[in-house]
Amino acid sequence: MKTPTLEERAADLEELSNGIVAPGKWATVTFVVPDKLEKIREQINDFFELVNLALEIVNLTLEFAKAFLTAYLNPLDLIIQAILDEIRALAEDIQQLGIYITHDLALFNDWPPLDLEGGFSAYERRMVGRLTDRGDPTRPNVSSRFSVFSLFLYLSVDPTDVYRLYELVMTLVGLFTGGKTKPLRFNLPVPVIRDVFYGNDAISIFNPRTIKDALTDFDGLPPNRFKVAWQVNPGANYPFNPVSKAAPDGFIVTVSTRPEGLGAYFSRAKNNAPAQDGKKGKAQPREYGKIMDTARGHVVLHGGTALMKFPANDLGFNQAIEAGHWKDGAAAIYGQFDPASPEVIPFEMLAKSGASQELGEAFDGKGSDYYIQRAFRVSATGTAFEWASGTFTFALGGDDLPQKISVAKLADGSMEVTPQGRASTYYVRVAAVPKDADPKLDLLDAANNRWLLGQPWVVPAQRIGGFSEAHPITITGDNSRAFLQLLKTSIKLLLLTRADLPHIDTAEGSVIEHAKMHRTVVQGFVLKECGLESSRPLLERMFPDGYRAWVEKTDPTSQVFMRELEEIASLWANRMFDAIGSNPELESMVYEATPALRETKLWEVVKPLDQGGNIQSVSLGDLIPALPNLGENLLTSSGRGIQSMASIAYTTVEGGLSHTLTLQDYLEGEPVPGFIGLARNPWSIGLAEDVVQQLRWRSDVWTGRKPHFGEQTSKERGDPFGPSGPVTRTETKAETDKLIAGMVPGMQHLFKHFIREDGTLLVPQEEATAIEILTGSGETYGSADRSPVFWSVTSGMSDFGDVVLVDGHDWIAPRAMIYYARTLLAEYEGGVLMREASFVLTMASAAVSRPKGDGEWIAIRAFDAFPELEYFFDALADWLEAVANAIKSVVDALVGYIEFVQAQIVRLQQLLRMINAFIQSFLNLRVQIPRLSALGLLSSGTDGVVADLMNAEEKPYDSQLAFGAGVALVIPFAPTFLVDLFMLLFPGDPDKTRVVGVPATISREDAPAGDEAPSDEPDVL
Amino acid sequence: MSEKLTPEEIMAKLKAVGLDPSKWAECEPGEIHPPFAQKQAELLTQMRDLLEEGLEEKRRKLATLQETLTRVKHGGGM
Repeated sequence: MKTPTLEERAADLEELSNGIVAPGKWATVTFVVPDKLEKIREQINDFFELVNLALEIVNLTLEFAKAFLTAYLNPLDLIIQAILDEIRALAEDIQQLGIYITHDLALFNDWPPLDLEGGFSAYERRMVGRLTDRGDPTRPNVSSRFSVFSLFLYLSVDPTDVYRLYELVMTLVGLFTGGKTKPLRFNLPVPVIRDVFYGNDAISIFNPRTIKDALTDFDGLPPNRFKVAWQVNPGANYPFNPVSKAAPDGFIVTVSTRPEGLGAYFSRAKNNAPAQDGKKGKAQPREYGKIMDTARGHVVLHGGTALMKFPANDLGFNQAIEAGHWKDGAAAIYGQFDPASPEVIPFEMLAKSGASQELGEAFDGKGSDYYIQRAFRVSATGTAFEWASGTFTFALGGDDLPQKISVAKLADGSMEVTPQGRASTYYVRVAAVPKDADPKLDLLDAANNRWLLGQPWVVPAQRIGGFSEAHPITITGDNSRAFLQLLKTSIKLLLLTRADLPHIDTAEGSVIEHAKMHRTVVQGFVLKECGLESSRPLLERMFPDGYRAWVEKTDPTSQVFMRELEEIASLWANRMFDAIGSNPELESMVYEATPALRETKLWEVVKPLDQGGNIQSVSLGDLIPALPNLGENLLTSSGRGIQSMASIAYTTVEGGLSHTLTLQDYLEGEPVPGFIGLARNPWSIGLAEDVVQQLRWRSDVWTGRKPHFGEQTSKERGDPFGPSGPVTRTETKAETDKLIAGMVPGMQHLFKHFIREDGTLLVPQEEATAIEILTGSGETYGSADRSPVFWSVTSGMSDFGDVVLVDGHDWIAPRAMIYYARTLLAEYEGGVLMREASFVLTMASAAVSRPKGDGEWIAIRAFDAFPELEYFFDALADWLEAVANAIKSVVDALVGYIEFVQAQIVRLQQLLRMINAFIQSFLNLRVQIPRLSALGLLSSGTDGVVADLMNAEEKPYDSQLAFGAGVALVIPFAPTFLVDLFMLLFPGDPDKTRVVGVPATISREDAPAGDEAPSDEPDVL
Repeated sequence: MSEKLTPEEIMAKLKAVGLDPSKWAECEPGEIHPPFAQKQAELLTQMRDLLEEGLEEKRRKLATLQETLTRVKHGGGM
């Protein structure tokens, strides 16, 4: 007979199962097999699992017998044949029975399964409906002339036990259909993880913070406590109650070092190829494939050993490998994250030897015992449930998390796992589990799959709801915070230094040399690179609308810029940190390589500001935005100004700044005295536009362009200063007025002090030198004047002496400076700050700067991706050797014969192992039946069944709020074994009439007062 | 074909354990081990024992063949 293909068999099964076990319909195995099924009746057995198993035995043993009986006829084989005949007879006997079965499994499809509400009366109504629906062609329609045995089984539960009800119906249906009913995926709600919070100790975890906050509000230790928060869909009928009456009993929380699940795969030996004369050795081909569950889904593990029962000694990967080859006849189950990758994860190596196989508990500190994955059980009532937000939470410690591993293939072919400590990122998932359900994937139960060549390797589906999407937990190391700070500092340096500007060498024409010699200024170009140019792509990502527009706009005060600088740097530092994850090794390396970024003092960097010029000609109030009135007082009134100035101003920047204050801390927002600041550009210090323009005359105040920016004075450009250069005296008032009117405001202010009573001007000789200096250079322009600057106002020595006489009072000469940040930062200590910042940005920005689709690393080692290839080469070598050595001698014939017998022995051993496995399966075939209500009827035809069902006494009583479901069978001509099976449900004293009428309820709600059914004791399991 | 029970036989069996076929009853919780599974296990056990005998026979045959091979290699006859 032609062996059907898998596809044909699946199609036939589907066709047949639709007729047998369609939920809510009557499933039938008739006495007369329909024509369309006749052709496949002997190929498929979709009725009893036992029948199926028996026929597997038949098929396999027939194959065995064919091999043996033809070669070695002997009495033993004849006896074996007789036994096979008996097994086959039993199988055919069962197959030819007629049975009708219906059940409520389809009603579990929705969550909560409200269609099951209504208790027994609803169940009875459903069953009567199915028995009497004459429009249903699948209905048992047995004439009243025939006796019919029918069996009704019913169970009700309170709403919290719905899953157990589902389990029972599945069990009962499986008992009568041989497990061929395609299980419905029980729709437990799928949790949605809302967030993961971080803390450092058991207390702080209850005052949760995000990872950003945990690192920002640093209190000495990296976060080591994690709280996962999730929600479940309460269902359409319970929109306002997240813990609905049918809520899951608990949850499984899994954590993994990998974002993807661990796929389960198998490898099993196929039958030996027929021995060929002259060949030495045997090549045993193998099958590989995915492990499927009974819902026909690929089994993917998330929780490691605690979520599986695994026969390591029988199906472990390493035990199946010897000397680089699969052992003869060996089968193995193992994990792979990517089937195209050579990396095999032996399931037996997901935990240390001796580690508990049970689900973990919060803060048990046993994470180091487990590799890659771990799972925890969380009771829905035990976990912290926050009513206000409808959120479940579960906290666990860093010591609870499994270790990451490296996997290597050893010379003997086995896999070696080496723990690598804590991962930098973990991935947490949550799934709902029903009450008392064992959520472990049972890989023991289906060990017989090793013999089912050509068939999928199918295991029972896990009793667990769907997993949430993975949510990352960022693990921070000791240097994580420092790394984050360094990242922020480096980003700020990038923003302060105009790394966007191209070098003049990239321009064209003779302008290059002119610019380099400062004979001309080419706007938007620099004469020297700052060292952060490699981070321009990051600038482009940070400012889609252009960094230049951002840096050139005007702020009212320096504080606006400082706030924006912090916000942008924090945002991108966190974004980059998230992208690369916490990597303790990287963080440590960056930390060690950046001492200047961490330790450089602010005063050392801004020390050039002490070279600033006297600014008495400029309104001091304009240069000290924080003290707007003081400057005015200084220049216009007496007494108070001196005292005030003395109290706030410092002689030098070096003297005014704390010598312990680092540049990094300053950029982080550490306050400094108000005499110094950092602005987006000179127009953003807080000065009036005309004052800024006035300062263009003061190359000693507004400076710091060289050597980075191009710079040129108006004189260098050939522009005259005034009508005839510096003027120190006038002869008439009109001349004075004309001169003053032609001056910029600051200069006007200065010269007004020298106007005499008659309106003429006379600059005292002692001031003349200063005036010449002031006016001698003319206006100054740079190639990127709208760039960030440091500014300062001190009261130190001026070019005019320590004391200035104004209105008869002695004044300390104020000194100011506006200095480009790029020059200060890039020129400090030969550019060390830039080098270190560039290093940090290069290391951290790779992940966010990497263009999409630039390729990935592919790790391939020879032969690893094709485990069979090596085997094939060996077999090929054997064959070639055999051919070369083929000789027609008696010895060769004998050797060939011996090998043939050896092959038969191996085959026989395989058969024996297989039979032993089936024996164990039969011996272990036990069905756990809970307390449930049952009714067996002997009726006349289908109509009699309906009447007897309605008239049956002692009907179960339960609440209308209970959930109830069950199974019904209608069996014409009840066979002995089914009646015997029914009797097994009722062991006990045959002399005592059984008390009936007590509802089989696992834990029922209280019956209404005065309406409680008689019962000896609550039926609570 | 499997043995079929008459209605009278079914009634007798039910009453033997105290069941009234017209009333709902509460079954006892516990494990059920289907009797036909036991039967299958017994049959397979017999088969296994026989195959083990056959295996032993093959091993003896193998030993004989190897002994013969040794004799041939050292100049003896078959």
